[in-house]
Amino acid sequence: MFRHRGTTLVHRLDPRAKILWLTSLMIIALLVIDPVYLLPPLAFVAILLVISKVYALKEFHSTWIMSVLIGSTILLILFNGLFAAIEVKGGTVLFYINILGLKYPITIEGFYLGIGAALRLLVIMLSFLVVAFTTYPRDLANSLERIGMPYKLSFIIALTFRFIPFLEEEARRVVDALKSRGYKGFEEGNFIERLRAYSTLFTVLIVNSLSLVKRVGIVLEAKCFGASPKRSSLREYKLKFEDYIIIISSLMFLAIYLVLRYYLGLGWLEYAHGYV
Amino acid sequence: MKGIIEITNLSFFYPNRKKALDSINLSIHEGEFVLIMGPSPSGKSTLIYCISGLIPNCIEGEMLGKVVVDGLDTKEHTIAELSRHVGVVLQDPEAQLLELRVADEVALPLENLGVPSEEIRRRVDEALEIVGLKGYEEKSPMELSGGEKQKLAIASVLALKPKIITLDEPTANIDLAGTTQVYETLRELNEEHGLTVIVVENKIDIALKYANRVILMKNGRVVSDGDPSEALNSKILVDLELDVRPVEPYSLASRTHNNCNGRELIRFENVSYMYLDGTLALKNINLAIREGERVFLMGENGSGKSTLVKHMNGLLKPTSGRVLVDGHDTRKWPTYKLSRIVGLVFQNPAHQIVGDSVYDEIALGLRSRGLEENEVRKEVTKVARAFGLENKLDMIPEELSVGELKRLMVASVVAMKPKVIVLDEPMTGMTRAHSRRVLESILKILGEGTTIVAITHDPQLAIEYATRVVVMSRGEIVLEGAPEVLREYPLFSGYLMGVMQSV
Repeated sequence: MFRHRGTTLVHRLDPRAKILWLTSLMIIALLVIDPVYLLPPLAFVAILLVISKVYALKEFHSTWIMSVLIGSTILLILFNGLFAAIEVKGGTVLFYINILGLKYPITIEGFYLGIGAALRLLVIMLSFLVVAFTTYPRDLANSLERIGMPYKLSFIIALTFRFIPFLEEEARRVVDALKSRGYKGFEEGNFIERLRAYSTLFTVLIVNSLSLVKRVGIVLEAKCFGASPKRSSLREYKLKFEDYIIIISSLMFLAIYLVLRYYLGLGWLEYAHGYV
Repeated sequence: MKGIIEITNLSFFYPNRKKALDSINLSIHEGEFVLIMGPSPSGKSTLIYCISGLIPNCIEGEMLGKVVVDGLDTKEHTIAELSRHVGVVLQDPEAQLLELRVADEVALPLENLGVPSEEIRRRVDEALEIVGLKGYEEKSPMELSGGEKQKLAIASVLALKPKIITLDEPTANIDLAGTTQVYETLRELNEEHGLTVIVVENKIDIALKYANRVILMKNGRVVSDGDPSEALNSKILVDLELDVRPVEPYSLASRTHNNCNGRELIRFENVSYMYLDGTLALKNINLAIREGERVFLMGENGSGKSTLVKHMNGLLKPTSGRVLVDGHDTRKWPTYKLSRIVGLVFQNPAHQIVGDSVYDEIALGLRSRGLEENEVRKEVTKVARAFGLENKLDMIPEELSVGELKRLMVASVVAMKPKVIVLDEPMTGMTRAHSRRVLESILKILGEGTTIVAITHDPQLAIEYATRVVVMSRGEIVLEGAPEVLREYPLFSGYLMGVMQSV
C-alpha cells in the first residue's frame, strides 16, 4: 500500500520530528480557513513532498489516493459553493437556481469558503501521506513509544499497516475462488445476486481474518512479545541537525498562526459557520 | 545417555476433545537431524508444538505427561525462557513474518527480550550470515522468494541462539529449488553449528537425503523410529499411505490409448499478461489443450503458472493476444459462465469453501445448475464416496482435517462436471499417496478421458499421470512434451535421478 523505502532527506528525518511537523501542520490547517492563509502551510507540505520524491512514486498515484485527494477537493468546493449561500447573506451573487419555485442564490463567497475547506483537507492529507510514505511503521512505533505511547498500542498500529495489503490480497483470492465456482454477482446480475456474492465474500473474509489473528497470536508468543517490561531496539533514534531545523520551523510556524488567529483575528471568514 | 529432549507419556487433547497425541515416549539426542513423518492428522505438528513449548504455554487443550527440553520442563517455563533453548518455525510465512524489513524481523524477539542494541546488531548480522541472507537487511520480506522467506524465519529463531530448532512443514508451499535451499541451510546448522534439528516433513526423498533419524506417526502414536533407510521400508510406507505405489500404474495403462487428437478445449494465442505494477507475467504464450489430455504445468515459484491457469476461466484477461475456451473468447465471457466449462480448484480451502455443511458444499454448484433435489442428493453421494467423504456429509467444514478440506474443495468442483478440471496446486502439503488418490477420484467420477490441467512441484506425479508436461520459466514456456522430457530439465533431472536410485 505505502512504500517506505528511500534515501532522501525526508526519509532520513527522525520519526519524532516528522510527527511534530505533521501535528503542527494539522493544527495550523484547522486554525484558519481563508484560502490565502492556507497557502503557506500548503507550500511547506509541497516542499517536503518534492524533497522526498513521494509525488513521483507510482504508489502515490494509485487510484485510491488520487480519487480521495481529487474527489474530496471537488466535493468540498461544490458543496460549499452551493450550500453556503444561506450563511453568506449579502454576498456577491453569481446566479440563481430554482428549487421548488424558490430562487436560490449562488455566491462567490460560497466558493471561496469551499476552496478554503478543500485546502485545509489537502494540507492535512498531503502531510499525512508524506509521513506515511517516508517512515516505516516500525520506526514510528518505536518513536511513539519513546514519547510515551504504550508499546502495545504502537505495535498494533505497526501491525495494522503490515496486514492491510495482506487482507487486500486475501479478498482478491476469495473473489477469484467464488467466481470460479460460478458466483454470478461479482460480474453481473441484479441487486440480490450482488448482495449474495458480497455477503459471502465478507463472511469468508471475516472467518479467515479471525483465523489469521489466532495464528499471529501464536507467532507473537513465540517471538517473546511482552516478555520484558523494558524493550530495546535494533535501530537507534537520535535527533540530528536537520531534525532540529524541522522541529524549530514547525513550532515557529505554529506560533505565528496562533498569533495571527487569536491576537490579530486574521485568517478566518465571518460566514464560515459550522467550521471550527 | 540422557537426551536433550525427553518426552514421557505425552498425550494431548484439543478443546474439542480430539486426541492428537497418545502416550508418546521419545528421547532425542543432541546433534540429531530428525524428521517426523505421517499422514495428517497424525499429530506430528502437535508434537512440534509440545517440544517448542507452544503447548502448554499458548495453545489451548489438555496436556498429560512431561516434556523436558534442554533440562527445562515446558510446563514450568515460559515461552520466553524456552526460546533461548528451542526455536520454532511455523508453516505459513504470511503469518509469521511481521515486519517490513528483514533486519527488523530477525531483531523482533531480541527487542522484546530487551537485549541491548549493540548485542542485537551483532546477532542479527550473524544469523543473516548463517542463512545466507546477508545484504538483504533493508529489503521487505514480501519481496523474498518462498525459500528465502523460510530462511528468514529460521534466522529470526537463530538470533536467540537456541540449541534445538523445530520446523513445521517449512517447505509445504515451496518449489524444489527453494526446498533445497532450506534443507541445505538446515544441514549446515546441524553439521557445522551442532544444532539439533527436528522437522515435520512428508517428502520421502528429503528424509533419505538429510535426516539421520526418522519418526513415523499415525493417529497420535509413534509407529516407527530409527535410521531413515530402515524406518522407511516399503511396508511402512504403504501402511502410512505416505507413498503407495499403485500395483499397476493407472496412468500408464490409460495413457497409451489417449491419442490426444481430441477437440481443442482451451487455446492460447500469443497471450501476454502484464500486472498493474508492470511485471510481465506471461510472454507471448501459445498453447492448446485438447479434450482428453492431462497437462501438468511445472516450474519454479513465480514462473507464471498460476497466472496462466487464471486465464483459462477468464479470471485474468490477456493484455495482448487472446484465449479461447471451447470457442469462446474469454474477454467477452464472464467467469461465472466459463466456470461451467472449466472448473478451477485453488490451493487454499479457506478461500473457496463457503457451505454450511459438507453436503451443502458439494451440492452448491449442482443446485445452481437447477437440478432437482433428489438428483442433487444422488450426485452428492456419488461424488462424496469417490473422495472418501461419504461419512462426513453432515459435518461442518471446520470439523474436517486439512486433507479432507482439500478433497472437499476438489469434490465440489468435480461435482459440477466441467469439461476441464484445472488444479492450481491443491495437492500442496499432501502426501504423494493422497495426491494420487485425488487424481484417481477425479478420473473415476469424470471418466478416464477427463481433461486435466494440473500445477505441481512433484515431478514424480507428473511422470505418473501426465500425457504432456509444460515447463515454464519467467513467463515463458521453456519445455513441452511427453513427461519423460522432465529428465532432461536441470531443475528436475537431479531430483528424478535421486528418486530412481532410492527406489
